[in-house]
Amino acid sequence: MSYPVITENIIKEIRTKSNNKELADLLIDLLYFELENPDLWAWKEKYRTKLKKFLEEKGDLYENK
Amino acid sequence: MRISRIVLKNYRQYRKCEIKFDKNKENDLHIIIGRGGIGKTNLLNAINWCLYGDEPHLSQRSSQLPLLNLNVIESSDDLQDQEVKVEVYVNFDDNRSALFSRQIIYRIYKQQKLDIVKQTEDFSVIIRNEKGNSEPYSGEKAKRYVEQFFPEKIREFFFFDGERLDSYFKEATGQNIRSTIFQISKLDLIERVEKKIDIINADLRKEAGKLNPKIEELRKMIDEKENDINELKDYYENCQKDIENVKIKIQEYREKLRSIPDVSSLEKQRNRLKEMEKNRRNDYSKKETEKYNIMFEYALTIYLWPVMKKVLELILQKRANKEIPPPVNKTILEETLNKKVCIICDRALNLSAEERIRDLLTEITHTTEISDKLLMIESIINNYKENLLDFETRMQEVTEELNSIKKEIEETIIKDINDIDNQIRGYNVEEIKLWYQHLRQYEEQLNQLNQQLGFLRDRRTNLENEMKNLKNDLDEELKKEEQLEKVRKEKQLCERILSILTNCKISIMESIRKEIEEYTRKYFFDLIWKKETFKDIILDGEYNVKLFHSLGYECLGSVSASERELLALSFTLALHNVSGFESPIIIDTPVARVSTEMRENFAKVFSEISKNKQIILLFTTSEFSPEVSKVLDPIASNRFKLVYGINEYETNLEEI
Repeated sequence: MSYPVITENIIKEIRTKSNNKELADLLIDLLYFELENPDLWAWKEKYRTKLKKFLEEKGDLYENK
Repeated sequence: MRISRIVLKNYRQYRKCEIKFDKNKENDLHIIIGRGGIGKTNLLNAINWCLYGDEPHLSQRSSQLPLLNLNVIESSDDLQDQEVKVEVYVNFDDNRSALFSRQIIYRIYKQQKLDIVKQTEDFSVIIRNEKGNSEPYSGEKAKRYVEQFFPEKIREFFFFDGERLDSYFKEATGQNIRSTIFQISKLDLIERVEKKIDIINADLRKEAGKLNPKIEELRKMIDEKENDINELKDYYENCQKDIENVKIKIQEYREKLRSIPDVSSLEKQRNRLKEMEKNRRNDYSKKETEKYNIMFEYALTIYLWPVMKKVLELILQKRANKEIPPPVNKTILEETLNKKVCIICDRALNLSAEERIRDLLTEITHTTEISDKLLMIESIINNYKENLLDFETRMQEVTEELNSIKKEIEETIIKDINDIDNQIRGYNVEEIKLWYQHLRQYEEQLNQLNQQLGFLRDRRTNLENEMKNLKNDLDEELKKEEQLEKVRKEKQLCERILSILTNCKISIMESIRKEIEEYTRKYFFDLIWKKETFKDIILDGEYNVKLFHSLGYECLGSVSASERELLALSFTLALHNVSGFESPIIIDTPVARVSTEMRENFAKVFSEISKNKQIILLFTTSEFSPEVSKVLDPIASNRFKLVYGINEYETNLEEI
C-alpha cells in the first residue's frame, strides 16, 4: 500500500491517553502495522513478537511510569 | 480530490462518451442536463459500476436491459466480441492522479437465438505519483485503492440520488452514521488492533491457566462470562437496530398521517352522535305523544269553551244587573205573611198587601232556583276555566321541551355528524384505519423494545462487574506465581493497550461527534434561507441528527423536502470536513424533491458549496428551471446536455 495515513487526531489522542512515550510509540507502531498489513495471516506471531520485544527493551521504562 | 474525466464505452446508452470536468471558473461546479430516461442516472451508475462493480441506482427499465449498448449488439456479427468499459480519472491536490478502469468483454451469439455471454472482467487502477511515474494495480490491490479514496461503505455520502435525499435521515440512522464515522476517521483501524490484542490477551490467559489450575478455572469462568457478554452485546445491538427500525416506521406512519384525521375515533364519535340522535328523537316522539294526550284530555273543554264563556258572561251580566241573587229575602216575606205583620215596619198586613207578598213569594221562589242553578253553573264553568289555564301551562311546557329537543338534534347533533362527515370525506377510511392500527402496533413494539433494552443494559452492567471481579481474582492468582511473571507482564501490557485504545476510541468519537454537530450547524445556518425558523441542530449520543424549531420543538419530520435536503448536504459537508475526506459530490436530480419556489435558494447553496468542493449535478430538463439556470449558468465551469443519438438506444453528450 502506498499512502497509509493515520489521522493526527488518533496519534495525538494515543499520546495523551498513553501518558508514556514508549507505550505510545508501541501503539502507533501497531496501528501502522495493521494499516499496512490488514490481511496478514500470521498476524498473531508478529504482534506477540512486538509485545515481547517491547517488554524486553523498554519494559522497565514503561513499568516505572 | 476531484474527478477530472469519465470515459464510457458501450456502457448502456453510452456508446462512446467522454466527459471532462475541467475547472474553468472559481466554482468547481459541473452541470449535466437531460430529459427523463435519457441516461443521467446511468452516469451515476457508470461511476459506481467502475469503482465497485454494481449499479445501485438502476431503474426498473434499465435493469431489464443488458449492460452492453443495444445498438452495438444489433450491429455485431455472430461470435463477435464487444467491450464495455468505464474509466474514472481522479486528480489529487499533491499532483498525484489515479485512473480507475473496469472492463467486461462480451461475446455475441446470433446464429440460433441472440445470446450475450460474458468472457472476461477486469478492474484496474493506475496510480501516477508526484514525479509522473505510473504504477498499475489489479485485483485486491486495486480494490484497496478504491477503498482508500472512495470507501464503498460510505459511497452514499458522495454519490447522491436526489430522489432519496428527502429520506436521507431515515436511511442514515444513528448506527449508519456511527459506522461511517468509524470508517472515515480510521477508527476501524483502532478497533482492528483492539480485537487482535484482545485475542492475544485471551491466549495469555490460557497460557497462564496451563501453569496454574486455579488460574485455568478462573480463565474458563472469564471465557464463559465473555461469551455471555458477547452474546448479550449481539442481543443489545439487535435490539438497538430494531428500535431504530421501529422508530423509522413510526416516523413514516406519523408523516403519512400528518394532517389526516383519526378516522377511527371520528367514526366512534359519529356512532355515539348517531345513538344520541336516535335517543333524542325517541324523547321527541314521547313528548309529542304527551302533547297529543294533553290535547285529547282537554279537547271537550276547548270545544265547549266558547259556549261556556258566553254562559259565564251572561251570569256575570245578571249579577251585574243584580238579577241574581234575588233582591228580596224569601224568609222575611214568609215570616211577614205568617205573622200578618211586617217584620220590618211592624204594620199589620191588609189583604192586598198579603196578596202582593204571596205573588212576590211565588216570583222569588222561581228566581232563586234559577239563581242557584246559575251560580252552580258559574262555579263549574270557573273550574273549567282554571283547567284551561292549566292546559295552557302544560302545553307551553311540552312545546318548549319539544322545541329544545328539536334544536338540540338539528343544531348540535346533526351539525356535529355533518362536521365529522366533512372531515372524513375524501379519505380512504379503511386504509387510514389500517395506518393508525400499524402506528399503534409500532408504538407498542417500541415500548416493549425499550423495556427490553433497559433489561439488557442492566444485565450487561452486572456481567461486566462480574467479569471485572473475575479478572481481579485472576490477577491476584497470577501475582502469586513467580513463573507466571512474564505472562502476567505481557497480559498486563495487553490490558493497558486495550484500555488506552478503548479510551482513545471513545474520546475521538465524542470529539468527532461534537465537531460534526458544530460544522453541520454552521453549514446549515450559513446556507438556510429562513434565518429565524430554526434554532439548533444536535447530533445526539446515538448519532441521530435532530433539528430544533425556534419554538423549541424537534421538527425534522415536519420540515420541507428542500430544508431536509439542505440538512443532509450540511451534514455530509460536515462529515467531509471533520474527516478530512475530500471527495467530490455527485447528485442525480438534485432538486427533484424541492418545490419550485425553493429551487433558486437551493441553486445558491450549490453555488456556495462548489467554491470549495467539486460538485457534479445531473438535472432533468424540468428541474433546470429558469430560476436555477439564472444562478448556476454564470458560475458553472461546464454545462453539458444529453441528447439522443441515432435512436433512443444511444445517448450523446453536447457541451452547451
